[in-house]
Amino acid sequence: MTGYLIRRSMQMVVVLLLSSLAIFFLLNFAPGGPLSGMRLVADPKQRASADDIKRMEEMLGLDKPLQIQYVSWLTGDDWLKTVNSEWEGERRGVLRGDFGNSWKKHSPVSEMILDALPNTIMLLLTSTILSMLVAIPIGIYSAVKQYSRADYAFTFFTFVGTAIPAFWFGLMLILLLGYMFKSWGLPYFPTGGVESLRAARPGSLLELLGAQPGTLLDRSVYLVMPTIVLSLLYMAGWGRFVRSSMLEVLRQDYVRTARAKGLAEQIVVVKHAMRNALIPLVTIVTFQIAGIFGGAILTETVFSYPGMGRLYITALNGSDWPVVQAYLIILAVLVVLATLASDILYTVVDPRIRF
Amino acid sequence: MSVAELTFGSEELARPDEDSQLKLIWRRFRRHRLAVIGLGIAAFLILGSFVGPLLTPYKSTEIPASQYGASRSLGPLSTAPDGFHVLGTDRNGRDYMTRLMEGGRVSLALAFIVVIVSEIVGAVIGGVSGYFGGWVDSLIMRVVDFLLTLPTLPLLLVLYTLIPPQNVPGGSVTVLAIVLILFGWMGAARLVRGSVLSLKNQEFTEASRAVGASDKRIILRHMLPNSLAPVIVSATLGVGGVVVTEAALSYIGFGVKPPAPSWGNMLQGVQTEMFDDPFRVFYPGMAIFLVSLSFNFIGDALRDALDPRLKM
Repeated sequence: MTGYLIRRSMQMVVVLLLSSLAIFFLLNFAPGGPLSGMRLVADPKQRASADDIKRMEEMLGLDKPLQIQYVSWLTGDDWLKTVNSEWEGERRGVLRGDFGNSWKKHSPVSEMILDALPNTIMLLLTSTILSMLVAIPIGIYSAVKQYSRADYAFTFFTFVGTAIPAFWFGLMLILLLGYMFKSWGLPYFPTGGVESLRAARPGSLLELLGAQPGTLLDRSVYLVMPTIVLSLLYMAGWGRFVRSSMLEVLRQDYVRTARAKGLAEQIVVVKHAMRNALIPLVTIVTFQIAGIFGGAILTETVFSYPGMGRLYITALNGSDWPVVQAYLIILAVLVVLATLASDILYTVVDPRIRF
Repeated sequence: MSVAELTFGSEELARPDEDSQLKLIWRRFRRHRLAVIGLGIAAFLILGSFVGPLLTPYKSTEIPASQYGASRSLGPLSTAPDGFHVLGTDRNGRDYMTRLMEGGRVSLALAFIVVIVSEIVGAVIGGVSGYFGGWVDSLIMRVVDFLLTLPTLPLLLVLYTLIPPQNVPGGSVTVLAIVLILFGWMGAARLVRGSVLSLKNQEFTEASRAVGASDKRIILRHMLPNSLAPVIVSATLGVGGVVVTEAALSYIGFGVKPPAPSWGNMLQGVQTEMFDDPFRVFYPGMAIFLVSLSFNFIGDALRDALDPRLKM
């Protein structure tokens, strides 16, 4: 196992290096260079001239050789004077947590990420927990009562959950819980954002709960709708997974033995079958974390939720490449870590698998 | 097995007509009631999207001059449903029903093209991988596994921004199709590789090789038809997924660009005006949802109907 871990860690480093190369050079794939968009602006007064672009490229360090740009982006350029004094700068590099400055916002990318990341992590946590809380009981129940009405209803629900466009579902929720509720005089939900900026409006759910702006209660009310929307897909998928893994376990010999011993069905299901059926779910959930992180882009857009996804979309729209690169690097790290974690969990939960 | 089924079996043996296979599949397909309903809904929406735009007197992308004359203002031109506009007009005064049908045409055509091309690409790559084996196989499968671990949405977005639509014939629709195909072929590759691997060692392959058939003939005449069923199923299931992805990307502005309508971009920026007319949000999303759900049911039923192990 130790040898396996060492080998895997080395592979991880290589994979991350390769992805950092790919991510860095992405912006240079755009024909005409990273600033080419500025030449295409429709309004001639806004359009940058060739001289302007040259000056901007100098300011952003885009005139240096590509490989030097990459090295200074990854490892910083404060040490480069030992090689060539012209390349010296003040960046500390991605490896030391410095993603450079945003081209649009005039603030360090790492600060923007520190603002956005906690919001997204919060959303990821609540959605993962909600998905599991719904998927596990439903999956187990429909496996135990296979081909019952409830099982069919649940199967239908999983089809709906996978087929429905999540962002549209979010819009419908806003319409129902935010707008319709308001017009019907019911306590309505806030339709976007992450916390209140001023005292709650009369008639809203926030006022009913007496939530003060910025408190935990206030924030959790804002989280309700995004959490439901983000977890819908995973509820359906994981529920389906629990059902089939439970069905498989229920067919095992030891379950039959437990029943033959005369144990109550409830104990057989909960103590013998459920534990073994849920083990594989852990690896699936871990593996999909990066996918949920990426999927949050849509949810965050619908609910104007200031997380990583919104940051990414805004950066892409504005050709703010340092932010885009930072997002993709974080994503790559997340993918690599999630894959490793799920592989390790695999061996932990199933001792028959060895590396 | 009941007596009725037994007699049916002998009948079939007696006159093995060409389409008996299809009849068999259709009979098994019909057992999945939801899939039959789904087939009806999908047929209705497809027909509406491809035939509907031919029947309407309105243009989907042109803002009618008369609208400006009537309202004498440059404010939003949306009107409520009336005798002329079945679903009213949108904020630019364009007939909403026309845009809905035209948008369906764009969304569905894109989905069909993306699915067909990615299944073909995947089938070819998977077939090559499984048939030749060795280092080719392990290289291709490594790439497939790698691509499958990537979260697609952020990468679709960044690739979309990297290809400037004005340089590509067909514009944003083509860019979107290319990007979706790039991430869409891996499933089919895996399926085809799997079935080719199992077919490779079966007697009929060995027999055809023994009588001197070429690689090309074996692949085209023996492997391909035998590994078609799972590809058809995954293609059917794929249509729903692509329609939803297209809609999501167009909704956040990384898909089909206006003025050309698509079910996704009709929802773009709808949040500002949806409280005035909730149905503006409802119709395109419902269409996406119904198409996706229908194709999922159809795929599910096809899987049962085409599965050779259930044929007895």
